Amino acid sequence: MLRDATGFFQDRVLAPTDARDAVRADFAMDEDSFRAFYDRTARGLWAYLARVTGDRQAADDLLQEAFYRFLRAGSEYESEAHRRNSLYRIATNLARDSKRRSVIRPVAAVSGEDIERVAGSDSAGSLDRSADVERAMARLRPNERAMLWLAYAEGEAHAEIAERLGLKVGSLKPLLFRARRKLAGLLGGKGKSNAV
Amino acid sequence: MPSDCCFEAEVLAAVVECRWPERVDPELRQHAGACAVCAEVALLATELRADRDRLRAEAAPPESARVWWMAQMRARREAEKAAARPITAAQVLGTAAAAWFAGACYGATSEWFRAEFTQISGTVQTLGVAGFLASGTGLLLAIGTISILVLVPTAVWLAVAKD
Repeated sequence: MLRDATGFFQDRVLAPTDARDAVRADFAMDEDSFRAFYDRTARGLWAYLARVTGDRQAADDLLQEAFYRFLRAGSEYESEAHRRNSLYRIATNLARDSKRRSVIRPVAAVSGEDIERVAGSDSAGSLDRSADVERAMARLRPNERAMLWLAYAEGEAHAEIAERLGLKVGSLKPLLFRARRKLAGLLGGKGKSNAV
Repeated sequence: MPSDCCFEAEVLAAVVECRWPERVDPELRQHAGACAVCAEVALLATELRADRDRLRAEAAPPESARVWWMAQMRARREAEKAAARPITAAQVLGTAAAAWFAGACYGATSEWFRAEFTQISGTVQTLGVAGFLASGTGLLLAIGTISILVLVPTAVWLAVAKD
């Protein structure tokens, strides 16, 4: 403990560093790489967070927090997929923590405000379907929502989903099957004729 | 209902690649019509994929430049806060050193302290450590010393870790 305190003392008091340099050293990505990565992933991540939390406002907040923590993690990534998985894992943990702390408002059916937000760009039928999916997803557990979203909305492989959610690949399959059955039951026969 | 089907991945890929149902092999479409697993996968993937597209269109994330700038500002604030924290540690170390120095000066100069210390040493030599501890004074002294040894590091740790 004394060594820790002395280390702090030597690092921060005896040899103070410029805060700006400290910040740059902590971010593993440069601005251009980050901005390109953000532009590629932000919308998809927001959609994921909106569905997993069931709260668009929470998704706004968690999106920025997820990118900040991703930057602060300062890790080097061997591939784009690895980088994406890491970002989604951070976002998933944030969504779980928010749920535990009950920061997120209870999942509700689509509100009038939500409808207004998308009314300009969507037809009534599409809104109905969106509302059906939102209501059905709201009745699932957050982990089930996350699994289903990654598997069927994002089309990710089981290995990627397991990595993003911190699960074992072997245990994912039965969980995903159960979640799929549950959602199919909630959605009922709606859209079946269109889908097949 | 079986939990999986060997054509499930093919059906999902067709939905994700926007080929479902028009631009897929008719045999696969026919299979999905008869297979409960593939029908379910096609239904859910179609619904969730459409929902994803709607949400992505609705999403209004802040500009990447703004997010980068805000992250820089926040990291800088946190770095400054972290830099201020060791002052507490330094203060604790300084206080502890000052207390030790004061105690050492008192011990070296106080007749009473030296007399007490000589008496304790004599008792320990005569009765042994066990005998000394069995006496009331020895036990109190031992409890006091152990308490200080435990309490001081705990207090220092709390002072450092609190921030």
